[in-house]
Amino acid sequence: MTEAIKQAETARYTTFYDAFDRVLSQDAPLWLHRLRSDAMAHFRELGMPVAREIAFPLREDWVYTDLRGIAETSYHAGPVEARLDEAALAPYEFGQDDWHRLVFVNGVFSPALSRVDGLPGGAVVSTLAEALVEHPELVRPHLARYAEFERTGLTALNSALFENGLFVYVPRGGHLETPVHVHYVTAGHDTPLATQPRTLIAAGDGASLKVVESYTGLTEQAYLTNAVTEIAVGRDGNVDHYRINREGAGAAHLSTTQLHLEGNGRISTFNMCMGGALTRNDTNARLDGEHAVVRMNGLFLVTGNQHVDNHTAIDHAVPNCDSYEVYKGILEGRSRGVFNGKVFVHQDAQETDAKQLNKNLMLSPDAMIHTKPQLEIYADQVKCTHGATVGQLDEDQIFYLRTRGLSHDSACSLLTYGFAADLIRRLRIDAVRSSLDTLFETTIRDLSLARDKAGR
Amino acid sequence: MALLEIRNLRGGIKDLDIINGIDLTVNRGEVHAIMGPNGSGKSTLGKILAGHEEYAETGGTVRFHGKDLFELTPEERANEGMFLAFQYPVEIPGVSNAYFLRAALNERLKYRGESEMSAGAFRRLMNEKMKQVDMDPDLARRPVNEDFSGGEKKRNEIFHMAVLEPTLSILDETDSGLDIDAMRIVARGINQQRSADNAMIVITHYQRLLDYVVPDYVHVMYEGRIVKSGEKDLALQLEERGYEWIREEVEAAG
Ligand SMILES: Nc1ncnc2c1ncn2[C@@H]1O[C@H](COP(=O)(O)OP(=O)(O)OP(=O)(O)O)[C@@H](O)[C@H]1O
Ligand SMILES: [Mg+2]
Repeated sequence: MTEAIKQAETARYTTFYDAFDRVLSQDAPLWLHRLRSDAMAHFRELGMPVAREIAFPLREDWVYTDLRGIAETSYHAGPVEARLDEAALAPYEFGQDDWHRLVFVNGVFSPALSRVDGLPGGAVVSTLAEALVEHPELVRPHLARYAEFERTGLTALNSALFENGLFVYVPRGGHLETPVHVHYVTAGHDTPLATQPRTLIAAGDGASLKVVESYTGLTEQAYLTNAVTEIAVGRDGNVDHYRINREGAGAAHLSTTQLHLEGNGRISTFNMCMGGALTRNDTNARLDGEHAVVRMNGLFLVTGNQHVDNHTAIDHAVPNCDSYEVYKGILEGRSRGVFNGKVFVHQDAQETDAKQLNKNLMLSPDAMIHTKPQLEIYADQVKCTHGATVGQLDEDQIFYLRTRGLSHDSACSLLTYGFAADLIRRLRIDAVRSSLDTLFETTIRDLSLARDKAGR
Repeated sequence: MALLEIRNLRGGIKDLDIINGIDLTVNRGEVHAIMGPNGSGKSTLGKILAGHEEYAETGGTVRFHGKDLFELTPEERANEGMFLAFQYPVEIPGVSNAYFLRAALNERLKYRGESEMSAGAFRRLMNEKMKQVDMDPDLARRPVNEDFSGGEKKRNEIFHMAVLEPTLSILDETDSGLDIDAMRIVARGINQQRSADNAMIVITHYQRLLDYVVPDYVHVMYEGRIVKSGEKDLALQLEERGYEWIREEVEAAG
């Protein structure tokens, strides 16, 4: 390693290291201190997934997403108070008034904007910080048990530095009917801000719950969201999970969502991404008990110079589990997309049913997508299918719509909408479906306005 | 003024002339049937009139109630009252028939400077028109033509026509692929649209449709031209004798 590189590397991440010292000096149970220290040790070793030197080549799953700019930015690492009124947030609100709602602004919990009431017996919906004080016995068995930080620098960083986030727990047999909306908002700061939102969701045996996790940027400035979400569902449990990225135009959004399912458990997760300059989502599921079913769907809609990378991994560890995955991408402008869908079927995982589909609609000749299904199947009695398509709007369809009076632009918008409408139509919570439907339509309309302006 | 006036129209696709000089005048209140062997250019004529970008006119003029048709985009033609029922209707995944029709109707109202239709009024209109063409309400909810049977697609075209109430409808083999009952229902739908204000061009291979939708004129197209025109008994003659005698006549004249 040359001296210059060495120096640059030492200078890297110093604000994170300082933040770690600050976090570690806070009052916390010993096990949490240990967890953080362990995570930090791994981060020191792993860093962010950027190429460093011959001995540390870039990992294969990071070749299309370049974090060098982020690794070299000196972030303000930690929560900062920001004043924010409800009106600024209103356009990003979601669902209905009676939903449980937790809002974090620049990493700081905002009690004024939040509201939780009418929980079923034994259920907890609170900030993670509060849960660590009030219910450590509920947090400890799950925190950092699913999202491994030993091999993933970004998860290690979050595990070392997170200070708050959402905690949801529903005990055995409980049903949290009213959805929970956690809103991670970045309002901006005078230096680029890095937050480490941490979400922990645990549904006991036979329990059910619904969570919407959204990320919103109210600033065009550069900032970093490095989020980790862990969701565990017990036997016969059921979780509906939605993740919406409307980060600001200068944002980098890096996230890991780790799903853990026990026997007969069900998780449906839907990941919708429209915001951010650079987004990387790692969504991983481990099916760890027979007859578990995971539905992992995603939709992204990007334009300009946006870059969005969805890596998913589904681990069929035991027999008789199903996984259904549909990811759709809509790319306009000079945007870049990546989809990589891994499915591992272990040797014992007989009778696995795994379906994966990735479809991409290219609205501009300058947009680009890399798509790669990656199936590794070691069992012989399995049904596994996968497919990937990359296409454009169909001229005959456009003409058909125009002969009924739709303008060229409306026809394109309608077809773009139709391309992904099935994913939205399938969403089970009415309020989520209609909110996302509206959001999707508006985003498409904005895309077409942008197209008009660009004179195409 | 004629509703549609085609003068010496020529056109086709790149490097291939398909329409080789067509003259046709269609007045309000008239129904014109166009018959002719496969590949003679009937659908191409429909596509050129509707404004398909792949097909271009290379000569002649077309006036649609006085306006130069080729100055208008496909959607302007539609909003001026032209309607093309496709020989092969196109599937539009993810967009429900009802949603799409509402968008189309609203574009038309906007084009005419009128205000949009309320959800209630639209629902009533849909129900009325669905009854007119005996359409299963389920088909209105489903994505446009997706996984529709051949006959359902054709019936859907007539449903669109009934909702949009065009002044000039070009129906390209809307009768092909229909069972006997469906044919009668589609014909009834077409007849309900017939009025002194509207006109239709009905492209068909079969006399049977013309038993129900009795045309004022019948034209025979051959190699991109209208080579013979007559009244409704011309269709009967074609049904009996086929196209061979037409071919001979053309060659004798040529
Ligand atoms: N896009 C195209 N590319 C190549 N050839 C074409 C194209 N469109 C039409 N043609 C040719 O032009 C001729 C006329 O086609 P058209 O579809 O208009 O015939 P038609 O009279 O409607 O026939 P049918 O009765 O079989 O529907 C045919 O020979 C056809 O192959
Ligand atoms: Mg034809």
